[in-house]
Amino acid sequence: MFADGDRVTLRTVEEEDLEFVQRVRNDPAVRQPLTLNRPANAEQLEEFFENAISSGDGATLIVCRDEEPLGMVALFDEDDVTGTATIAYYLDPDQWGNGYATEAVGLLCEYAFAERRLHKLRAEVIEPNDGSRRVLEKLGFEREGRLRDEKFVRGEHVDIHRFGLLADEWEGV
Amino acid sequence: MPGPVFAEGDSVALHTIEEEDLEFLQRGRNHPEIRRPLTDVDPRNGEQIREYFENSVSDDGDGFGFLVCRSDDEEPVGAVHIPWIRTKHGSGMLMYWVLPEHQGNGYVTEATELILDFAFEERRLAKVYAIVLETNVGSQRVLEKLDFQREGVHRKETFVDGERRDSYRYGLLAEEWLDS
Repeated sequence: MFADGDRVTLRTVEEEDLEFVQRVRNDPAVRQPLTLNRPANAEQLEEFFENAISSGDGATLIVCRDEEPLGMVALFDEDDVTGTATIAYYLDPDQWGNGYATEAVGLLCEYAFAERRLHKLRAEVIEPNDGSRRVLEKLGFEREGRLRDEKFVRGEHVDIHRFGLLADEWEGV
Repeated sequence: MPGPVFAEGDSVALHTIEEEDLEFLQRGRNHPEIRRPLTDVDPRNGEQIREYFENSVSDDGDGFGFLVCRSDDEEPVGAVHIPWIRTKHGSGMLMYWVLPEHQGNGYVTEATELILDFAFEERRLAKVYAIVLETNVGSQRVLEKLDFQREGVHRKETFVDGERRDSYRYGLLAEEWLDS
């Protein structure tokens, strides 16, 4: 266990989790909004595990309720000098609608600001992705801009919204 | 010719450390009057200095260091480093030396000011600290002039000139530096 919330916890990603991660990130309901537009086989997941998750840069954590994995949160593109990083998150679609993402991303924000000395977190959400956008707004992220036709999702070019949260705006979990 | 100027003061400037400076750095690091106060006991041969250059100076790590040169004639006089940084905590350790024949001219104070400006204003460090031997009064004066606070004593932490010696730990916070 790495961070403990009311209903969910964040814990480290282990090799045994890759099957779960692979299943969820290949699910169209998850990969399309994240614009993960390539199939990810077990070998590629293994590489991602070795080179990204286990690299020591940033932080990637599994979201759990009790022992059951629900999804993943990640902090990456971290710059220690500017004190900025980008976050991303997804849950197994079976777990949507329960507020788990908000709680898990809140734990990640708390960790980022209180332990990693970050000054600002960034996130990007495609248009439309109301569920994800609501998570950010509930946590106090401000919408900072719109990048027009930046992604290609389900047959069309879509905008992305860029959100940001500053350390002194963060109200804690 | 030293490398390009990175930060310019009145009497000294900080320059990038280049391969051609290794002979000078080696001379400094082995000089008894420099290595003893730095509690650096081991001899450093050319190969070790080269390794240090490859692995510590030329890597993409968080630490940084500069050659200190007199502004008039670009004569190298010493070095100043913040080699170890815990970036998540924003704290870094300061080290410096100037060859004995160039001491007493305020070069260390000025070079340290320049590296502190860089550390706090460009690298977002929150604190810089230094460890100084109890016997090294000159170095303590440099730190005190720059508003470092003495934060503690490391009792009999080191073995110098045949005796166990205390070291003092000094620290300076970003807000103390930026407000002054």
